[in-house]
Formats: sequence, structure tokens, C-alpha cells
Amino acid sequence: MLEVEGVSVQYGAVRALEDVSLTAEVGAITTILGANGAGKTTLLRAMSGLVHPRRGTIRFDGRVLTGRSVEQVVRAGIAHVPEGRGVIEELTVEENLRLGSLILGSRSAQKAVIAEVLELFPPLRDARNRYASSLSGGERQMLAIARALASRPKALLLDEPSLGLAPIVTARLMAVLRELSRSASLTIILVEQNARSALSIAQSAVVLNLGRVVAADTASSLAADTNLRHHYLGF
Amino acid sequence: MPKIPRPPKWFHLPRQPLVRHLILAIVAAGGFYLLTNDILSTYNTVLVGEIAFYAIALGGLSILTGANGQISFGHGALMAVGAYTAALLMVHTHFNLVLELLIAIGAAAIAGVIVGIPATRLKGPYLAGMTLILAVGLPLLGNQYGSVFNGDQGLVTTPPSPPGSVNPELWLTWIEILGALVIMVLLANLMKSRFGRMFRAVRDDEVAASLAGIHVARTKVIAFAVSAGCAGLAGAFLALSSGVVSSGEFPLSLSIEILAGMVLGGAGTLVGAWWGGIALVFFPQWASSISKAAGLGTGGNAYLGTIIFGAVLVLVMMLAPSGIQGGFRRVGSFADRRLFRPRGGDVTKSLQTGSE
Amino acid sequence: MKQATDITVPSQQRRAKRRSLKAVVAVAAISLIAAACSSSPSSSSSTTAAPASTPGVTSSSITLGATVPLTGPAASGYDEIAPAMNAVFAWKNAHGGVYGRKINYIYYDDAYNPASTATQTRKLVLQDNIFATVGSLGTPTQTAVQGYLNSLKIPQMFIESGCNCWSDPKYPYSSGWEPPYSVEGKILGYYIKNHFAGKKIGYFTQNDEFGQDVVKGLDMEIPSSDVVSRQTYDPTSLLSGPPANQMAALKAAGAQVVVFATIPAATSLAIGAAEGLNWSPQYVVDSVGADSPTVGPLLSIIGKGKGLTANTALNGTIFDDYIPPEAETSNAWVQVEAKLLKDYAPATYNKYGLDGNTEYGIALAYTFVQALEAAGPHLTRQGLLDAIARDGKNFITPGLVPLSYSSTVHFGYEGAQVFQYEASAPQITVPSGSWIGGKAVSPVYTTSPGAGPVNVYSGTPPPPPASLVNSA
Repeated sequence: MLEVEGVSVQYGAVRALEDVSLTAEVGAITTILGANGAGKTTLLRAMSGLVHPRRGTIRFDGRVLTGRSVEQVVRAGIAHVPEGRGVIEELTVEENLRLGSLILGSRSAQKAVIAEVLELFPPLRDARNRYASSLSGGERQMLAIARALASRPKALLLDEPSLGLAPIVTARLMAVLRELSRSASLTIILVEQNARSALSIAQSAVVLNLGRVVAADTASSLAADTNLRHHYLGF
Repeated sequence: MPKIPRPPKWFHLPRQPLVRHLILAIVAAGGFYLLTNDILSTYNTVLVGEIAFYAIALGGLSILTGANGQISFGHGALMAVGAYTAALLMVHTHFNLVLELLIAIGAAAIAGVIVGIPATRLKGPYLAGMTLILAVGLPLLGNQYGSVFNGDQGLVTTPPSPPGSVNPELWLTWIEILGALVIMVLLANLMKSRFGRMFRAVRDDEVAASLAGIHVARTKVIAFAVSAGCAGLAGAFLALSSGVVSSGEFPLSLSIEILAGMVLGGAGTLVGAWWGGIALVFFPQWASSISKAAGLGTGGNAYLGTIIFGAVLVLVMMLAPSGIQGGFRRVGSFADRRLFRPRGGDVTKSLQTGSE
Repeated sequence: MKQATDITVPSQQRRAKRRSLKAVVAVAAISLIAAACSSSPSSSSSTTAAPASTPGVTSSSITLGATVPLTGPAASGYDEIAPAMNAVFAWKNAHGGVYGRKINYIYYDDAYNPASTATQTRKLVLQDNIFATVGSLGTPTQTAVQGYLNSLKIPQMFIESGCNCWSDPKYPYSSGWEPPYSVEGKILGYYIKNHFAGKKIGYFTQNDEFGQDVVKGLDMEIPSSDVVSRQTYDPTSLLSGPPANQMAALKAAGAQVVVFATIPAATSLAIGAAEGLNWSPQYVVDSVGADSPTVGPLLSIIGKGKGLTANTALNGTIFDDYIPPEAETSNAWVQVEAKLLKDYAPATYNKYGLDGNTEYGIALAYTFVQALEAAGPHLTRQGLLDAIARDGKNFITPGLVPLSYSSTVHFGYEGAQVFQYEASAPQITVPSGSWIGGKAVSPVYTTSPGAGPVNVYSGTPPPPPASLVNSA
């Protein structure tokens, strides 16, 4: 379980997050919604250790992770797929996956997880030895998620994975994520602009506005609240 | 799955990197032996030896700058560390040559760590500036502690004594070539290993690399240490080949020449290190011949070498920014596409035609 | 889990093939390029074979070599010497050569970098087949090749450096020519001891073996209690600015006489810095950095707009020299040197005239021509060394003292005279301007580089021989 308690993050004078709290359950998808600039990306960066909160605590499986380095957070089992990135263009698909699986230690464990992940994303299996720079947008997003999964994480943080993807592709991606959260008992935190499709697969939802939490509820309740939807989510 | 024609069996090198690199190295060693023993004059053999140790320094720098993306203007100073270490050992001890070289590599690698740690916080021009200061300042230490480094006169080095009646110049050249090939095999394997992936990951996107669990700072320092060790070995060979080690052998221009040679040969490639070495050693020679032929006399040719080198560098940057080796690779892949046109459709599949 | 079939993707195979092909091409290309550059078809043996005749000597020619700084910070001034030497060799060649052999002088640039010196020297030995090196410049540069040349028994003659290291029984094929720096230091120190007793003395010296050896000589004569400040400088740091700190320190210590062991650039920068502090002590400058036609133009640049003229700043400066100063235009040697330079190296003469550097080159080359003649028509390397050891003392050269060469001493001049720049003395006129000239203020002295007294030399230097004067 991933717990965020009273986290505030400041970039210089700008208060990106103010007293944000949420809980993400294991085996569930928690989606974080809100307009651009609401602080969603900052919240993910705080969870993965890229930025350190000025106040508040972040706990994962009971362990306090606030203030730790990114490497330590990764070792604790949290994998963050940043928006538009996460793929090393200089390396091939296979090399990217091997990179992701490095923290597993033994060669056999690495080989096993890479094989599994490639099964999950057949197009990646076919493009195995191509340089990541030659992949399409959709393939790259798959690779970024695949690389994160190659570390056998316990929590997966995804920042706008559907950005720039065709609707049919987004739908498939969401299906994969739902399957993962159930079968792999993964804690998934999904930041999305596309609130509709995110709410369709998530169990809980948090809405941020100007760095603060304005709503937190089950996904179905939030989806039913038309006022909220119009006001903050644009549909 | 469409059938792809396989290249003929005999052209297949084994897939394991280590075996493949060793085979290449042995072939190259044979080539060099023939070259230096039978084809070239003694003087040109000495030059081949110089190319070899410059290639060592360029190869190391290629790892740091080409693969790991850190710019260094200070590798002349790291060569100085290796050179002085080797010279001090030769003057004060009777150690075996290989041991002396290993210690020189180690000393330079340690210097690389010392430089590499603050370097992790610097990027681009700031890193270049810091290494520039190193290049200018470190050799001056050789003048300061005159009692240790023998100041201006420098430390005299003893060339390794060859067996039998082999020419000592030839013997030293062989040692330099052997050292260079060993380093090339090690570096090539390093680049194929997970370290090579980590170097390139850090170069491409530090944030993504750290999110993948890579210790970015540690990776950068390792790259620095590896390249410094190579520079140290090159410096030790320079010490042996020039007969004395003094600060005058490591001016700022050496650091800049090494960087330019690496860029010219092809940053990030190991074969490029050899092209760069050839350029560094032979451009002054060719300039000398050109000016002699043009009747400029030995005085006028003094600057010609530098001018030619600079002009070629500018040309290469404009026409082939990835250096000579990069240019070859483009030609090579162009030829490949012609030679091996796949007979089926496109091998890649997009999500839309996925099988699930 | 579904078992993936082992697909060898074409790109993987292509890369493996590409790499092996490239490697072979690379090795082949390197071999071809290097073979193409192999210009000397003769020396392709892998073992050193003993030459049947003397290398570099044919019935019609003698090939000499040198490595000198033609580029880089050390070049200015020093790049005049080799062309001036060539004037003497051209003169000799025009008059029948040495026993019918014309001298071929090949000099390469080493930019004062010992690594380059090593490469260029090997080129001279292996490709140009020189008989000997003559007039190679620099201490660290020539130390680099001293072992190499001596191991091949190639004479390393008349090295342009005052290091004590050229007269070393371990390296019998090396020898110097100009006075060792400690000799100059002792003579200047002796003069200071006698003329500035009780005054406060300061040193400003180059931070290398040149400066250190001059200081060693000075300290053998000047009581250490008189020395109030010892400042040094690094030649490379001159590029970043004048040695203002050092001059300020000397001024603060109250130095009344300041001894310089400096290269011309440092001399002018230091004097300029002192003027900036409104301070002009008595300067005593070692010959290396004292030549007014060399220092003068630099001082003029520094003093521009600051009301500092070179000749005024140098007026009263004391210095040493071991060949007649070029200002003494009535001196027969100076006259013949100017004529040689003008007739046989007109380009150099028109650019620099007879200044300290060109005069040095002519004197050195003329000394060497005497050595070649003393070695006789059957010229060998050992024969050359023996001739110098036997007859060196009797060579007729421009030197103020005779040469010291013997079977045990490989130093040239071990003496000098002290001069002082005086406005009333005839000026030195060269293409760059008219520069202050000096007058002798002491007798000629001789002394050894190590411990030992400074003695007055009472002999008279011989004039240039008629054969030279008539044919120059």
C-alpha cells in the first residue's frame, strides 16, 4: 500500500503541492486527475523520489520513503514511467529491458522477466533488436511500461501514458493495465488527462486542482458526480 | 514470418562479444606484426607505436565523451599522471614493466575518480571549464616539486630491453601495439556489457536512467575512471617513447589534440580511436612533406601541420559530424541495405495489428 | 508461458557481418596508409646494422640536424638562431665547403615539447641520416634525446642550453657551447659583491633549472645575508599577466639591486611591472634575457601609453655577455658577423638584423665549422669529438674567453664579461629600431661551474682570421 500524507512540494517560490494526502491500495488502480498544472506530475515525482517534499510523509508497505534517493525508491519496488520518457533511445528494445531488469540481480531472473514482458507486448518482441529511437509513439510507450515492469515492481506510477496515442491503442493499453493490477497484485497509480478512460478502469480517484486535493472517492462515485466532472475534468 | 536470407557461414563471427573481440584483436595483431616487421621503415614503425598509444587515450576518451556524454578537456593532464607515475617507478624501483604500467593505470584511474566526483555535478561548458583548469594546472605541479619531479630536466625513463637482437624501437612499438589491442578488447567488452548500457542510458536521459534504478553519479564516475586509466597508460607509453617526462610534454594543446582526434575519428567508436591516432601522428608528417615539396623549407612548415589539422577538423565537422568512423558506418549501412533487402513485408507490427 | 522460437533477427546478423567486415577494412586501411607514408625504402631492417661508412657523410656533403622551437611560446627570438647558423654554413659551402663537402643543415620544429623532440630526432637519425646534431635547443628537450643519441654514438653537439648536464662522462657524445648558467651566476654575483657591497639584493628568476643554476652561482658569491627576497616565475604563467606580485614583493623587501634570470618576455614584463609600481632598482640581468633589440620591442609594447620608453627603462641595466655585444660596431667580429648574415641569410638580416640571437647563431656555427676542419678530411663521429677535445681550446671564435673543451670537459665558454647599458654608448640599429647599447664595466672573467674562485682573464681574444674577413 502506498500512502501519501500531507505532502507539500515547492519549486523555489512556486507551491506545486499543498498538503496532499492519498492512499493507493494494492491490486487496485488509483487515478489522479486534474487540469494541466494541477500538480499531478509533481505528485508522481514526489512518490518516486525525483523531488523531495518540504513537508509530509510518503510510505510504501509501511516503509518511509520520503527524502530517499531515486535508486533507493526503485529498489523498494516503485517504478515510475514519466510522461513522454522512460525509453533510452540509444539502446535497443532488448537493451532497454535488460536495463530495467538490472536490479533483479541474477541473470536467469533477468532473462525470465524479459521473456514474460515481451510476451505481454508482442510488438516489442518483434522489434527486439531495433533501436528504441526507431519505434513509433505507441511502441515507445509500451517499451517504457515494459521496462518499468522488468524490474518486477510492486507499484507502478504512470504519467499520462495515453498521451499522443490513438483511441484504440489507448483502449488496449488500459486493458493491459487492468489485467496487470489484478493478476500481478500491482499497485498502479495512473495520472491521466483523459479522465473518462482512466475512470473506466480505476477503482479510486483523486482530483487535484492548483496543488490541492479537491475530491477523493471511488472511481464510480466520482464519475457519477456530474458537477465535479464539468468543473474539474471537462466532461 | 518472412524468410530473411542469411549471410554466408564463413563470414559469421561468434556471437559472444569476448570471443569476437579476441579474434579481431588477434587478426589485427598479425597485421601489425607484418606491417612493422617487414613493410615499414624503422622510423615509420616508431610512428605506428605512437598511433597505438594515442589510440589508447582516444579510445578511453571515446567511452567518456562519446558513450557517456561527459566532455573533458583535461585528458592531457591524466596522461601526465600516468607518465610521471611510470617514470618515478622506473627511476626509483626495479619493478617489472607490466607492473609499472598497471600502477600507472591505477594512479591515473584514481585521479579520474577524484576529478569525476565533482564532475557529476557539472554539465557541458562548466565541465569543460573544470577539465580545462586541470589540463593547465596539473602539469605545473611537475615544476613545483622539483626534488621529486626533477623540474625542467624531467625524469629519464628506461626503455624496455628487448630480447636477443631485436631493435629496441621495434620492441617498444610491439609493446605499445599489444597494450593498445588489449585495451581495445577490454573497452569493446565493457561497451557490450551492462556498464556500456548504463553509460549510454545516462548519456541519453539521466532522469529515465535513474528511474530505471541506475546510480547516475556512480556511473559517471566509473566512466571517468575508465577513460582516465586509458589516458594513464597512454601517458606511460609516451614516457617510454620520448625518453623523459617533463611538464613541457603536456601542454594544453595535448588535451585539445586528444579531444579533436577523438571527434575526428568518431566519438563513441573504438575503431575511430585508430583513425584519430593516425591523424594526430601523420598530419604533421604529411605537412612536413608537403611544405618540403612546395619549397617552404623547414621553417615554414612549422605551422602548416596545425593548419592542416584544423582545416580537416572543420571539414569533417561540416560533412560528417560523427567523424571518420561514423562516415564509414553510414556507408556500411547503406551497403547493407542494398546487399540484404528483406523479401517479405515490414517486420514490425503496430499495436493495431496486434495478436491479442 | 509460450516458448519463443529462436529468431535470429536479420539486423543482428547484419551487425555481426558489418563488424567483421569493418575490422578487416580498418586493419587493411591502416596498413595501406602507413605503407604509403613509408618514404624511406632503405632502412627497413628490424635490427640495427653497423654502418659501413660514417652516416651523414659522403664525399660531397655532411648532413647536420637540430630540433629547435619554431612555434609555440619559446619560439620568439629563438627561431632566429637556426637561420643565422645556416648563414655560416652557406658561406662555407660557397667557399669550397669543409674538405670539399657541403654542409646540409636540417632543423625541425619541436615547439619546446620533449615528446616532439624525441620524434623529430628519430626522424633526423632514421630518415635524414644525420652525422650529428648541432645547435639543438633546450634543456628538457635535449635531455629527452641525450640517452638515445649517445646510445647510437651520434654526437649531440653545442646544445643551446647552459645546463651543467652536457658535460657528463656518462654521455660522452654530448657537449655544450654557451657558458653554464652557474658560471654566469658566479660572475654576476662576483660583480655585485664587489660593486654593491652592503646593498640589499633581490632575485627574480625563472622557476626551472636555468633560474636555479644562476641562483646557485649567485649564492656562491653574494653573502646570503644580503639577499632580502627571492622571487620566481613560471614561463607559462607569463601568458596570464605580468609578475606584478613578485615585483611588489621585491620592492616591499627593500631590494636595491635585483638580479634577473629571465627570458626576454619575462624581463620586459617585470620591468614594466616595476615601472607601474614607480620603482626602478638597479637591474642585473643574465645574458639570456638581456639583449636590448629583443627586450626593447617588447618593452615598447608594454610601455605604450604609460610614458615608458624601452631605452630609458634599460638605461643603467647591468648584464653579462660572452661574445662581443653587437653594439660594438667597431669590433672586427661584430663587423664580419653582420656581413655574413647580410650576404648569406638576407631574409633573416632584413627581418632581425644582427641582434643577440643571430649573433649567437653565427658564433656557434662558426665554432662548429672550426671543429669540422680540425677533424680532418677523413671525417668520423669519434674523430670529431677527438678533434674538439684536442684543439678546442685553440679554436678562433668570437668568444671573449677561449673554449674550455678537453677530453674531460664538454663545456664551451666558461667565462663572461659584465656590461652596462648606457645612453651615451653607440646604439644597436636593427630593422625593429635603435636600441640602447652598453659599455664594459668589468674585465673578462673565467670560472668553473662548480665551487671555485672567479678569476680575471688577462688574455686578448683573437680577431677574426683574414680568411674569414676577406671571404665573408
